[in-house]
Amino acid sequence: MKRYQKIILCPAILFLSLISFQGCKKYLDVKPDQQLSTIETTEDMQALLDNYLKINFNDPGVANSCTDDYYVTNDVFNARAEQDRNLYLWKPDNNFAPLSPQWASSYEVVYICNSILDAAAQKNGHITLDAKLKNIIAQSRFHRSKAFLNVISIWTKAYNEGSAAVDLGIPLRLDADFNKTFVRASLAESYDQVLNDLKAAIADLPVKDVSVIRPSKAAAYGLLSRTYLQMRNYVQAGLYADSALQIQKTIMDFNTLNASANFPIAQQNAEVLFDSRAVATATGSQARALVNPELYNLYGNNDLRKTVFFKASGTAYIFKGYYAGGPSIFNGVATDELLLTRAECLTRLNRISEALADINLLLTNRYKKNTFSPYVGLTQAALLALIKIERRKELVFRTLRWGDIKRWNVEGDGIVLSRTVNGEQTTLAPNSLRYALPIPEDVITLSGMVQNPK
Amino acid sequence: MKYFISVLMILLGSIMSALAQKPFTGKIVNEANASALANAIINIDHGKLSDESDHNGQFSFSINHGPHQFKISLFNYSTLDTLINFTGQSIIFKLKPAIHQLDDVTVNTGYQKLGKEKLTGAYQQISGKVLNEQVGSSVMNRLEAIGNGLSIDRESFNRERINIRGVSTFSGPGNVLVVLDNFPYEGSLDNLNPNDVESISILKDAAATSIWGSRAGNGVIVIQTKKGKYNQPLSISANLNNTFKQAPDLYRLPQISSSDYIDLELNLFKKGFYQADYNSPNKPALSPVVELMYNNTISQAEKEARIASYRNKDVRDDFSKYFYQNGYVQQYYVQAAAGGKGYGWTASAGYDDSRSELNALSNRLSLRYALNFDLLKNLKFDVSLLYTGSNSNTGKTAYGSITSATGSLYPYASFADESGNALPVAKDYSMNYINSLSTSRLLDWHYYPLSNDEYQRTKSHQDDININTGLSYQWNGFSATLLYRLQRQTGNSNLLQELGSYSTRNLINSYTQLNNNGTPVYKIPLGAIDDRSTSLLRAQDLRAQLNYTKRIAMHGIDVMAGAERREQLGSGNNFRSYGFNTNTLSITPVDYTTAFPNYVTGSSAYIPDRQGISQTQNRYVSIYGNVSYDYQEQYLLYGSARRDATNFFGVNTNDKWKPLWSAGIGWIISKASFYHIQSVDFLKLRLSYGFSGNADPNQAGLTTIQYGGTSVYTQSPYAAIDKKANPDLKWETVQTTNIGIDFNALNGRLSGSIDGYIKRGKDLLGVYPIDYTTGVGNFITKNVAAMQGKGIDVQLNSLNTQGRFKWQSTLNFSTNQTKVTDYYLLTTNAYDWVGSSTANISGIVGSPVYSIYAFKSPGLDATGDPIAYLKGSVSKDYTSITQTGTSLDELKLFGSALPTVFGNLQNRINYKGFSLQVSISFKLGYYFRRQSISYSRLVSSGIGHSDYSLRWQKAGDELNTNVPAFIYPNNSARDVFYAGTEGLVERGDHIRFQYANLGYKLPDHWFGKSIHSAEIYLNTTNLGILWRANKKGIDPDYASPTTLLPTKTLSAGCRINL
Repeated sequence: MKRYQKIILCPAILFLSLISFQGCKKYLDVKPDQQLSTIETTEDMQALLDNYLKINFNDPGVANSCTDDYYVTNDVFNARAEQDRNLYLWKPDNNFAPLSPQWASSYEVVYICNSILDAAAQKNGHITLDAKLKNIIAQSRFHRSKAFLNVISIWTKAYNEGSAAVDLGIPLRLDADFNKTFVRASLAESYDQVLNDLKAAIADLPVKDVSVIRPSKAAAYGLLSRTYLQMRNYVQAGLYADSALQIQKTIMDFNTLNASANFPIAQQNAEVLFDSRAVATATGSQARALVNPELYNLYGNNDLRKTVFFKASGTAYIFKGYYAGGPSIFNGVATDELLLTRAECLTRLNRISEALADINLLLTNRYKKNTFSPYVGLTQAALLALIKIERRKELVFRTLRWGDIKRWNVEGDGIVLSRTVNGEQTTLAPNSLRYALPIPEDVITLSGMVQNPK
Repeated sequence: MKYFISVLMILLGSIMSALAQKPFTGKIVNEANASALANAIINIDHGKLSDESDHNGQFSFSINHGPHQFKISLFNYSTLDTLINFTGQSIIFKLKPAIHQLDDVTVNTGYQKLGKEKLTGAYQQISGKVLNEQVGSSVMNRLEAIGNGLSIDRESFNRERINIRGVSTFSGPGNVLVVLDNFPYEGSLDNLNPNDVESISILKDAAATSIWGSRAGNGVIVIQTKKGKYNQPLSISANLNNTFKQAPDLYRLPQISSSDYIDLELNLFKKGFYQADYNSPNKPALSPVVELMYNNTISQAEKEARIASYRNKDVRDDFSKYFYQNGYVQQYYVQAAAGGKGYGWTASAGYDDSRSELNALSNRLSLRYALNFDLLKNLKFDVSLLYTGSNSNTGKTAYGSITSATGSLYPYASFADESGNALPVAKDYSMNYINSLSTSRLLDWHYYPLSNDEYQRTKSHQDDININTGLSYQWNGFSATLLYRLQRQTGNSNLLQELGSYSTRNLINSYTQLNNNGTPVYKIPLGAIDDRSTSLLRAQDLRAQLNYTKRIAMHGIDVMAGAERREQLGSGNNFRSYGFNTNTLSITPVDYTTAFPNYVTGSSAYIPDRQGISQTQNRYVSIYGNVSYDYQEQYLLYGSARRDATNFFGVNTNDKWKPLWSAGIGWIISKASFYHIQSVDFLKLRLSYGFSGNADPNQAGLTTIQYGGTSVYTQSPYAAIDKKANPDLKWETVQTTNIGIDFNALNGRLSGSIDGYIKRGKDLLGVYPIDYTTGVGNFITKNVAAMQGKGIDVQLNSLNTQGRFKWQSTLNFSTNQTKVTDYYLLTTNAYDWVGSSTANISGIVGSPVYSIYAFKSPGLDATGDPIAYLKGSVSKDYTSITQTGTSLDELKLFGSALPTVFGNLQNRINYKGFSLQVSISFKLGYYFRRQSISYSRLVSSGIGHSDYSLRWQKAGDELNTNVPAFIYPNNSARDVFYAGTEGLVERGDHIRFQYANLGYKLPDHWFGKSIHSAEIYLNTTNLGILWRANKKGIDPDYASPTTLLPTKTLSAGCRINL
């Protein structure tokens, strides 16, 4: 019987060891998917931020589609979905399809950044912040503020210092918890959030990173300059533009470009301080958006931009001067934008000669060799007018024109936009309420947020 | 428990020897009361002679004196098989009445084998014999024709999913748990050869499924393979067959006519629709007609002539001529089994070889060996090894799978000219543009569907090894079992796109750069592109279980407790090689880190790398147990409980050990002392209640991220947020109450069961609307939903006639009604309630889970617009009507989109050596939405429908048609409205012919002793619909405009037993 006892014991022991579940917790602590992780390490966080298709290349292209730089033919217009047609004609509502990717993609960036910031805050309690974690926090704040700034530019009215404290801003989601609700902050608070995030980020951003796809000090200065410019704080806008240009001031010489190429301007070229791109709306794609003849005619024959930026398509022209090496709308930060910003600010501060130097530097590099004679002796008003035109000519399809129109109209420029479709003309009066586009209706329904007044 | 059958034989007369044939007379009587028995079948010498007894129980033959084999069979009596030495005397045969051996049927739950009589839960047992009346290669596909309470979803978006007692979940995992030889089977069950199946149990209610815990919420199918038996002589059997599959009929597809399509294109051309594409620098593809219209070098007359010839083309002609063909399947199977004292084994080999209608070749080799033997007196050991190796190759491209840049392929496309040379069709770029490109720099950029499949093919191979071992020791009513199972499934697949394939030429051309002097630089080397992927699935299970069975006087007790752990490891990788030389197997490296401008559009892009490695590892630990008790084998009590834990992310620890339990009671009324109903000799009442779970590994309580690839800009890995933290998530539970009766009546002529059940799905995962300003999308998943399902399952087996002509019927009849009891509707848009052509979760409380709602519309108005209502009055504001302008009660609810009544009827007839089995299935009490023309889809993606020809064209047409007038610019809301109108809703009810199997058992005397029996058979499937409620001739199971009917098959085969 002794022999049998062993045989009984063997399965019984195994059985007992199983039901006692020693080490059971350990057994269940294995990661179910090796590609999955919670946001644990700075590598995890950096990997989320390096997902450039979501973080950098998914910005809303709405501002681009609302400008007067282009038009579409009646055929193209008629073939578009109702919301895209409404957006094109600045209609007061139903400009965005339900689940509008323009709104959603901006706030997805905000969510990713908040998730990283939450995870980083948890780390914060345990260990002293090392440089990498600080840098992660700075990058997240940079991306979040850029997303906020994009939303502000599209869905709020132009900044007016007097009324900003009561004007409608945007929902400032600063927490990844989706159960929390955020209502629209005031426009002043919204801008402050962007400014504070960017300023806080600067210290922990490198002067330059391995790629302009990642934020750097120069990028943050550039974005601060853009923000202050929208707020018409020309002192700060000029100073921050200058700070960025101190780091990098290269302006490409268009004489070196092959103007006959399909896309003569390379992505991440010498002027780019930060690379980000917007998704064109249905009317704003390269093939459909025909260049407004009024804009095209602003370029002189010696202006290289006339051939670098445009090419014929039938009897009209289409745009090919994207800073992306392909037909995607570059809305990142580049030295040409900052040079123009600095020039405008200097002019407004009546520092004419410095402003002239900037504008002449830009244009020397934009004209055929030895054909540009630098501007001298312009009055403040004449220079400002020149800079406004040059700003429009240089920053085509960069999403910036819409903000400039809003801003200049507040300054009193009285720019009237107009479109003619199927024989019918639509105009957008200066400072119209419709400059703050209607927030997608389903967002209003789901969140209970206040809609922009029509 | 098996009753011993005694045989009594009385031999009269003395032994005489005679060579001449003499009349032999015999009589058959009941052993119990000596009454004469009619209709008994007498079979002499293995089928050489046969007769049937008359009403006096008598029969007669002319046979020689000497020994003869007599086999006498009669329903309800034990078969008598005896050797008689005939000496000229008449003989009386006494047959012993058979005791109905209901408890002979055992049900295997995957954890234990239980006599059906003792069960309190709802089960269906299917024998391997019934399963093998069908000849398809897959086990699961055969269940539809024979299962009870089982249906295959062909209505909703979960196509081909097996539902047991309808759906139990909204968005959680909906698959039934498949258990093969005691353990959950992962991967494709197509690896199992149906010939190896001994039996299948379908577990339906909580008392049946609860023991399987958190994965059993959708029901469990337990498959047992054949095992070796002790003490049996060597037997060898073979099953061979050939199946012919008819090439499908493409002409039943509602394709828009070429002429209509061309007229539309000409019309759109005039309106300038194509101008933007024509001018586009991206040179998108245009159809031949549009290209022709833009071509200024061709005369008007020539254009008209060409268009006229296009009008006569139908792409289905070419698909039928060059792509589709008749297919075949060949199946070979041989099995051997033997056993001696204390051991038994079985071994089998199967080989299936098939060619699909699209010339895709595949084969499957399955080898199996199972051995059980007694190591020691009470110690049993068993092992089974199963190997399956399968190969498959892709064939030709299916109808609907050839697309051009603008979407659907134009209906007048041709694949070959008159002499059979391949013709190009428009693909990515305009044909005119491609023709203008220099061929000295670029590869031919045309797409030739006719020859493309020769250069682009996928070969897949899969090996599946299953090892099951078990050790069990019995003593004193105890039995301790230790089981281990290893499943290892490896697969590899190789997509080779040779230089001749369009995709390779396209990629190479797209990345071709030109030097300053115009010479081409190929950034993707000239050569094949080779994609390889491998996958590994390894599941290991270890189970220890203790059973105790004891009967003390009136009390029977059966206790089982066990624990198991399970690990499921999955890994995969894929890898792409460019410039692959198939002869030398050399590859050429490419530059993945530089963006190159596209040859046509100039926009920069990186060379796709298509590489990746993945690994998943799921672990489960469970403890479980159950108790059965009976009093006098008449009153039954049952209880079970189980706890599961997994390593899924973020499931709260509390929830990791979620307990699931069930309880059941039973009463065998026919054993009660007061019971005196003669005609019903067995009657049992069952009642059960309990819970099973449904764990979704895709839901997480923590924010998780998923690594993707490497960023081309920073050369660092990038990741995306995968799951959004949702700490409140729980497992879904399904609570089932079941009441059932089992009965056996009219001396066993009628038997079956009737079950009624109510299922309540609780804590079901449902979408919960959320403002997408949160950045997590427009909804999150929460345990917010609940549903209820109720129904009846009836299973009836009847013996309609007996004797020589034996006719048996089995009816499986089920009803299932589902109802949403709690759900957060994501939308207030009417078009979401109406849904698309495939049924979606309605989410409307009080309605069936899958419902058909429709917009009310009496037809068209005098301008060809569908008549619609907004706030009670006629309106054409289709945008409002299809969105928030229509409230739910303004829609018309037709009913369930899933059958509410379904089942099958099987008839089995035996006459002499012939046998015929026929199964028909029915699906009743539901609706489906048929598709029609959508003008916006037609214009934007070229997706047409033959209803286009029925459209309103002139005043007065509204009396004859409901198809709206074509308008341009399109109004997509009008299309959405029309697609959802009541006129497009049809009743789905239909009766389908599942299969027929005609067999002939060859007379035994044809062979020597070496062949025990042989049968030849013919089998046919997919013959189509016998009756349908809709008048449009649509098969509701295959209603999509691009879905072909399953091909009709005819098989011939034989079964031989040695």
